[in-house]
Amino acid sequence: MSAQPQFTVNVYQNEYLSEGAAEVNAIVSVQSAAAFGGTSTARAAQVIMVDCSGSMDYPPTKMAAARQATEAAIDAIRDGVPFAVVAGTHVARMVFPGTEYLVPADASSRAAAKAAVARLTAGGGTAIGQWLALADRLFTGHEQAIRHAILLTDGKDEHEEPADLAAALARCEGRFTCDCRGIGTDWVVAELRRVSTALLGTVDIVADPGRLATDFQQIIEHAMGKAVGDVRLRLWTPQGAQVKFVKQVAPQILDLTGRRSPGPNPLTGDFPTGAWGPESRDYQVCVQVRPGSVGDEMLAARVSLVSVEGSGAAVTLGQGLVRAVWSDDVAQTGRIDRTVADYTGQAELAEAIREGLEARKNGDLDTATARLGRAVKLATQAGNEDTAILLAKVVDIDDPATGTVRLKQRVSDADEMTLDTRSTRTVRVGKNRNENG
Amino acid sequence: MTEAVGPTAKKDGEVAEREEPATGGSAGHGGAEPTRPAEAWPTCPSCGAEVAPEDGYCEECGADLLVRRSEPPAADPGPCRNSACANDSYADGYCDLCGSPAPDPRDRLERDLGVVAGVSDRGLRHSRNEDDMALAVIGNRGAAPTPVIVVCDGVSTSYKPETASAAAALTAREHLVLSLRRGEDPVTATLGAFEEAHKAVSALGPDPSDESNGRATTMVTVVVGASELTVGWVGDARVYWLGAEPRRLTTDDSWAGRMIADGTLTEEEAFKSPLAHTILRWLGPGAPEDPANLAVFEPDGPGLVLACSDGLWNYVPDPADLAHLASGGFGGLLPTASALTAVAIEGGGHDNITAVLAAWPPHAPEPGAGERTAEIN
Repeated sequence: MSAQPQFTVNVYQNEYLSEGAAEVNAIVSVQSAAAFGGTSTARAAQVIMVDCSGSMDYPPTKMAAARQATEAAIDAIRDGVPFAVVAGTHVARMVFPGTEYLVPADASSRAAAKAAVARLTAGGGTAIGQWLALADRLFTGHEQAIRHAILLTDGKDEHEEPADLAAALARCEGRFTCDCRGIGTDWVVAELRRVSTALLGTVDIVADPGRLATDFQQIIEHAMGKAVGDVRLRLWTPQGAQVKFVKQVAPQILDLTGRRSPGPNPLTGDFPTGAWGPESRDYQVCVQVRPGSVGDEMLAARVSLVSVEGSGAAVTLGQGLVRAVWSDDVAQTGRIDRTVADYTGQAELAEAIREGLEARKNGDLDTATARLGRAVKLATQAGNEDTAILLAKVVDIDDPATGTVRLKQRVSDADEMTLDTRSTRTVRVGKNRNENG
Repeated sequence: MTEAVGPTAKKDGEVAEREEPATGGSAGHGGAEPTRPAEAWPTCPSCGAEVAPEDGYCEECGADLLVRRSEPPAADPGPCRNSACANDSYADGYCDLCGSPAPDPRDRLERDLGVVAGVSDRGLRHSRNEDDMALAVIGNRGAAPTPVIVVCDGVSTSYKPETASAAAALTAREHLVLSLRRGEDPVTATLGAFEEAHKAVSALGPDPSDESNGRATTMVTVVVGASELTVGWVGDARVYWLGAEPRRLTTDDSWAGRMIADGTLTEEEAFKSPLAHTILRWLGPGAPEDPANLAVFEPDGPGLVLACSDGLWNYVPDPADLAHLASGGFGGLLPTASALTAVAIEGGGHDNITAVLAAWPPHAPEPGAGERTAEIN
């Protein structure tokens, strides 16, 4: 039997609302810890998608790095875990094994896979939807396993229509999770983020091909640590209430609002969170309830973390309550919950960066300066040093406290894409948190 | 004629050791212990046989021993508190349809033992009722019965104040009933009731997430004797005498009460302060160890005894005003207590409200009228 992680759910909020107020905000913090501290023995399945388009040879170090990284990833796959390697161009082609199925990892299958990867060459176009469709076919029959994929690309998805990619994503949602990596600076951040968001994975830029092998190895190790597969945030809200948004806010911002599927009764809805190993994630929930009068109290939301098994049966892993209490005591209603406020600020930071970079691209330099200045101020306030360093590569900062900045005349594509890609990373806030996350 | 009685609590070791507060409303037979001195035993009002204080019926002749106790709040929550919601199932303490807090039977308590009756109400501005009351009537052979009143107001800032007030009210009421039936004098019984209630609240334990946050309640008790009222209090719940010359029988253990008693501030000035309702004494961990405040009052004519929490007297502090309101001819003690409560609710209902009334002198039940004093809820 697998070592099921222990889940802990904590709610941070100021439950006190002034008369007539109707919006309830809370941070739901979820921590899971492996019950026996050992590695996961849960069933897993792994697919690695490597971009082999012609551009991967310009410079040739990209293709070399991709081969080396894929080999490192293969070595990190746990014994017995079924896996496959896919070469992605304007079509998807099996690299290992030769036909469309997954082979359990062992010494000989790893050696054969690495030999196949060593022979990979660049040539052809880019149609990411095709790659994902093949991965989805490969996972068929492995529904009981925790399914994970890696996608590496260096270019724009230009040999299919955007609708083709959207259709492929719609089919793959909930089927497997996918971590995406862009190598070089010719790929499109928004495009790859669309893939990683839909498939509940991460997205990052690998500006230095030499770092790719370490990155792939870490991704696989992280995936192999997952112990529970299909975990959902099940949100109960009272009759007449409206869920304004549900989003993961740490370790990175991921809006789940549009991902609701019906729960076991009309007052519940499920939001997907993918697979869990020992880790911490925070979610922000905003619910509009019917306004109350002073003295009223209401359960505004019950947030449960449920694991859904193949049979559809749900096991509750943890639960937290979001309350609303209407009061005329300003000391109560005026209190600001630091956790909620900090994450709200960090979400605004990500938004400001996105809008600022967008405006900069479109030549709207006033908006770009204003939004990136705002971002500098928010990053300073939040103590988000990683983001502050990235911002400093795009703007000259006159005063971080007020957000007075000037756009840099020359910004490298890599710096701009790094800022864009990593803008959704947040700094964990609040008390009693496990720093090792 | 209010006579302040000093801390004359004499330890009644003989009887204090076999305290076993009964929680039920009737019957129950504690079993005699042969080591008890005979003079401490009450007797059956019907046959004169000795009975145990906790007995509900005479072991010899089966006669009803005429101790009536008000019932604690019911366990069944009933329909949803939200009148627009017809649901009656709850999870985690909330309606699983509209999210309202599960109804609490303590939201509105009405208890009527005939010669004493009371109302406790959540009011309009608090999410739960942290007040509680416990009443009893001790029947006496051929003589007037002895009504016993306990009113508690849980301290809002303490941990689960509603549990502190409930524990204190029940413990104090049982101590008073058993001690008085054993023949203890009302003053000793009252002091003992406060000691036992303090122990009961302290035994509940503090907030598990903050050990320094214990539970606390205020309490007032009245033993309505044939010739005098014995009043005990800790905190700012009050007892009023509503007779020909209405008067307050308690002085508040609050910041305002101390300022007024010292002569530092006038009543009007004191109650303007935001500190006015800060409690200086309470029952529970960290409470000052002094014996309860005591007053013995000998009425010189018929009237009503009112014991109430500050949720009522905040709206009507003046004894004459309260006497005027209570004289409205509501047709009984319970309707009158209900009318007083309604005044506080109409005034804003800012706090929980508890109002208990007993008539003085307590008249003996007429022969064959036993059913009239039967327990009502």
